[in-house]
Amino acid sequence: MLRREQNELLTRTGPGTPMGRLFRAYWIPALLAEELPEPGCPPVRVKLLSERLLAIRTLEDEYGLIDEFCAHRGVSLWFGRHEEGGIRCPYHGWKYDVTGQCTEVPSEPEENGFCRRIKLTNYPLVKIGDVLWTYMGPPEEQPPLPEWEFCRVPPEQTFTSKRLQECNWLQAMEGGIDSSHVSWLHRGALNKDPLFKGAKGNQYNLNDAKPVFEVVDAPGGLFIGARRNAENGNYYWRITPWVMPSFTQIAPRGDHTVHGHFWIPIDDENCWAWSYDFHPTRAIRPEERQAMKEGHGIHVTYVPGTYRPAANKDNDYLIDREAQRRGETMSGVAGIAMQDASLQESMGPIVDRTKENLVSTDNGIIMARHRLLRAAKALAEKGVLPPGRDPEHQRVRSAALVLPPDASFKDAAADALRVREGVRHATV
Amino acid sequence: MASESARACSAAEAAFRVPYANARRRRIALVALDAGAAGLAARLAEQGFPRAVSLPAEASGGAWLEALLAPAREVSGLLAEADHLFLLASAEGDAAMAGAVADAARERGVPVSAFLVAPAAADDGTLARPLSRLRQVAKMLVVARDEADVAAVLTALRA
Ligand code: FES
Ligand SMILES: [Fe+2]
Repeated sequence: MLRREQNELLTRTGPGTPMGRLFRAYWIPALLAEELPEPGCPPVRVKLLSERLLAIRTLEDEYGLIDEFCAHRGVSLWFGRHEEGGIRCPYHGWKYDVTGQCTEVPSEPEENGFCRRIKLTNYPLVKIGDVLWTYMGPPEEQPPLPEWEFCRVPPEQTFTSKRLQECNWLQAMEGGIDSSHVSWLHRGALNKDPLFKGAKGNQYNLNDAKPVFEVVDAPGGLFIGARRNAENGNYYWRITPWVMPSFTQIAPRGDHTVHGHFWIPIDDENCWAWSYDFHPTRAIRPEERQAMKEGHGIHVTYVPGTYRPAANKDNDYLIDREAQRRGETMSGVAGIAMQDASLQESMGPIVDRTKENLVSTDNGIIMARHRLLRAAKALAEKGVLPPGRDPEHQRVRSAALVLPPDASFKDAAADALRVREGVRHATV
Repeated sequence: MASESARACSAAEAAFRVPYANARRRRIALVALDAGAAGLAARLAEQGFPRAVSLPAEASGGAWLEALLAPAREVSGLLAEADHLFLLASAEGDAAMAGAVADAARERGVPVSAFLVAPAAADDGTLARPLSRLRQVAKMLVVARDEADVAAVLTALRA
């Protein structure tokens, strides 16, 4: 349960809000690199943290993220035309460079320098891996560029997708650290999905359907461990790191690619669910990449020309009551991603957490909220920069491994929970 | 026409969630397993959380039976009313009584969770004993550096 004002604080991320300030302390994924495929390509409208922005890639191959609207009379620069040195508003010809600086106001005499006084808000936009990252906070507090392993491995070893989720970011993210739903909602998928099946760890999952959870502190956030019985009194652990504000990595299965998420607010009632799959030591196989593109694993298929899932609230998520009755799916919705998204959207645009009745298996969620609240307050009130900005905090891994019964997993698996170049994940 | 789901997911419809309570108040019993945990329990009580019963760290020494008698009775009383038991342990102790208390809880059908509050500096060696004991009994374990986490969890669970 959260008090109403705590729920407000955690869910509102627009300009000037404490949680918005927190998100603006990080590099966050803004677009897929494929959305701006070449210099001078059409600009893309992007809403992030309740700000309407325009992503551009100039003829000179510079990336920029600027205020969507022309400073003259507010036309969307999405209609703008690429010209040497920037983009021109088609209405009266004002021209802007990649930093949002106005460089030409045709109606004014050049010598009066009027255009130099016009400057649109702009944020840096940097390509790392398949993702264009932005930082929307104060320039003097800009952290080092992101070091997430999935976007630092060679291109053939990584695949990233995003999908529109039509609810507040927090209820979406909470699903990502709620390990106890997996054996219910996704129970059918473990042994069928091409990107999961066949791992030995799945056997532990099925032999012991009641995992026990353990949550421990991590420098950038938390480690959430799910423990099951293995041979000889040992424990099989699946450990998921959560790094502030919204990064997770799911524990690996066998030699499959490793996947995880970012949840990034679009506005308070919509978010981007980012999903990545990568392998630290080998290329993604063609058939795996194909499966990802076809919406298997944690990915989805789309309404053509958009990043909105093909199964969405306007078609009742293509619910199949027969499959539900037969027990093939728990909710009647197909696919891991849409199983999550459909339920999370059903909670309403911003779920009322004053009414929930949490239980002890929700402790990961409780602790994550507590860390977010604490960090948002410390930043807003005392200017304390939050955890998760340090590249070291980002160089974490999930792990699936068998450990002795008295080992603290954070210590016993310390190496496994860190990125090790050229070494694959600890995985069963 | 909007689909069922599209309409149901809207903010306008969210306003019609029934306003009545959907749960009765829960009673959470707190039992501190060592002196460090007893200190934490006292601070929690000051913040308005339910008072914890503090057990002696172990059943040994000359007068252990007498030392255990009163708190044991209190634990029994607590468990009779409780919906959930939280064991509190610190790096100072080794959670020797965890099994006994959890047995009593199980007999009464009360689920058990545990908190191990340990400074970041506490190493694997110090934590091995309490960890393995708590793991045998708790279906949820939090290893926290900061006791504010305990308060956060208790609040979230409506203690
Ligand atoms: S069982 Fe968890 S939301 Fe219904
Ligand atoms: Fe899920």
